[in-house]
Order: sequence, then structure tokens, then C-alpha cells
Amino acid sequence: MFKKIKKSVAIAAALLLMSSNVSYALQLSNCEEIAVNLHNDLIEAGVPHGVAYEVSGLVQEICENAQQ
Amino acid sequence: MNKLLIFTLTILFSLNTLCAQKTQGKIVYKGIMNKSFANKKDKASTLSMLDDLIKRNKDVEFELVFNNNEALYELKNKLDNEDFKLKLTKVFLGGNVIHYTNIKTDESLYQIDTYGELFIVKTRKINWTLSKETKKIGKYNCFKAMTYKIVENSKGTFRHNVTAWYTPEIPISFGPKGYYGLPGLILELQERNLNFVASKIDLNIEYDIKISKPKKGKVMSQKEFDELGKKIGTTRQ
Repeated sequence: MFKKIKKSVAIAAALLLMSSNVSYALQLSNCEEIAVNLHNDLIEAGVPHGVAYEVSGLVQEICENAQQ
Repeated sequence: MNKLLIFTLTILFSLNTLCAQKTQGKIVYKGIMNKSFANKKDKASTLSMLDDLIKRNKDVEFELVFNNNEALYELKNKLDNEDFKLKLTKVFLGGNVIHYTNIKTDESLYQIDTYGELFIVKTRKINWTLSKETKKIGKYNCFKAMTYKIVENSKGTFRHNVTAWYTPEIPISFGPKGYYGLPGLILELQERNLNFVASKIDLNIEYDIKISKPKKGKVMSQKEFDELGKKIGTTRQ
């Protein structure tokens, strides 16, 4: 009986954790959204990944600093 | 007979002196972003916002240091406490990259600081198309040469035209951003919206210039590096 309760609690905890992870992954902050859009726009404009990565990272950083 | 011997020896001596002559120097290039990334139609895009930030920025300086066989090209001022716009311009102009070229061993590579680590990327050989078109840069007569740069990312393969203006009056086959192999120093280079113009030429350096080949970083080919970028890029999208 005790073992069964323990198992169901573990499953519930795992599901809760998974669901919280999923919602976390889908919810982007404004700054993250700007960075992702910029990254994609740069890639579409034929910019190398390394440059797009660094530039969008910098833009995200300055956006987050401005919001603090 | 004696005259012929003296003449031959003189020629041999001159050739030997000429071959043993030290070729070394330092060239400063100004990096300028000169054209927009964005199309006119997408004025509201993140790219036009980026353009607005970059076009109001000042120039960034790079330095090419070379001796007889090797050259190293990198950002001149690497101070980290700069403003955001300058940092951004430096990234676009290749400020996180050090280019190394050895014309004796025909080796060309760059060390790049990106994705939070260092990489050594071996580059492809450059094929130039030489043109008869000329222009004067400073006091030097320059000739036009063209090549292209291939960018492979997750959205496809892009071919960007590259134009170089080189001068045979300075018979050094190096140039900015790892471009080399022309019969003269590259004084101006245009790679898409990026322009690099020589602003200071110093060929009279007293001491011996020693070039250190970058060694730190994961070694890979350009193709492997592009594949890595695609993999990292898709997780960001």
C-alpha cells in the first residue's frame, strides 16, 4: 500500500515537472522573442550562424539590461 | 672569360640578395558597414532596426601583420568595456576572428570565438578572377579582382560576391580577413555590406616580426563548422 502511494506520488511529481518544463520552454520573454526573430531574419539574409548567434545574443543581453 | 664570370657572379649575388630580402610589415584596415541588410520592403523588420544601430557607429580598426611567409589579421582594439553598438559592429566585421595564412605551406585558417568556445577552422583555397579595371587608392595604382564567399546555414547556401583592389606596387600577397593569393597587397576589400580599407601602411619595421599561428580551439573544416552552426542554429529558432 505504502509502496503504491509512493509510486503514484513519484509519477505525479514527474508529470508536474514535465508539464512545467514544457510551459517554460514555450514561454519566451520579449527579449528572447526579439533575439530569436533577429536570429532567423539574419539567417534568411544569408548571414553565417556564428554571426547571427553572437548578434542575437548581444541584442538579447542589451534588451534584458534595459528592462532591469 | 673573366668578364663573363664576374657578370654571372654579380647576377647570382643580386638574385640571392633579392630572395633573401626581408618582407615584413603592418597594415591597418578600417572596417566599415556600408549597406543595409534589410530590403526596402521590410522596413519594420528586426534587420532594419539593426541597420539603424550600426550605420550610426564609428569605424573599427583591424591589423594585418606579416613576414616573408606568414600573416595574421585581427581586431586592433580588443577592449571589452565598449558600448553595445560598437560590440555589434565588431561582431559583424569579424572582430571575434583571427585569420592566419602561410603562403609557403599554402595553409589558411581562422580562430573564431563563438558559441562560448574557441574553434580553429581550416579554410578553402580562394580562386580569384583578375580584371583590368584600375583605380587609385592613395598613391597606389590598384587592380580589381573578384571572388565569392559561400555561406551555408540552415536556410540554404548563399553566394556573396567579394571584390578586392590590390596593388602590384606592394608585392605582398596578403590582405584583410584572410583573403590572399593576389600579385599585390589588397588595399580595399568589399565583402557584401562590409568594406575594409587600408588606412596605414608600414613596411619599414626594424625588428623581426614573428607570427604565432593560433593553436587553441577545436580543429575542424569549414564544412564541419557550418554543420555545427546549423545544429546550434536550429535549437535557437
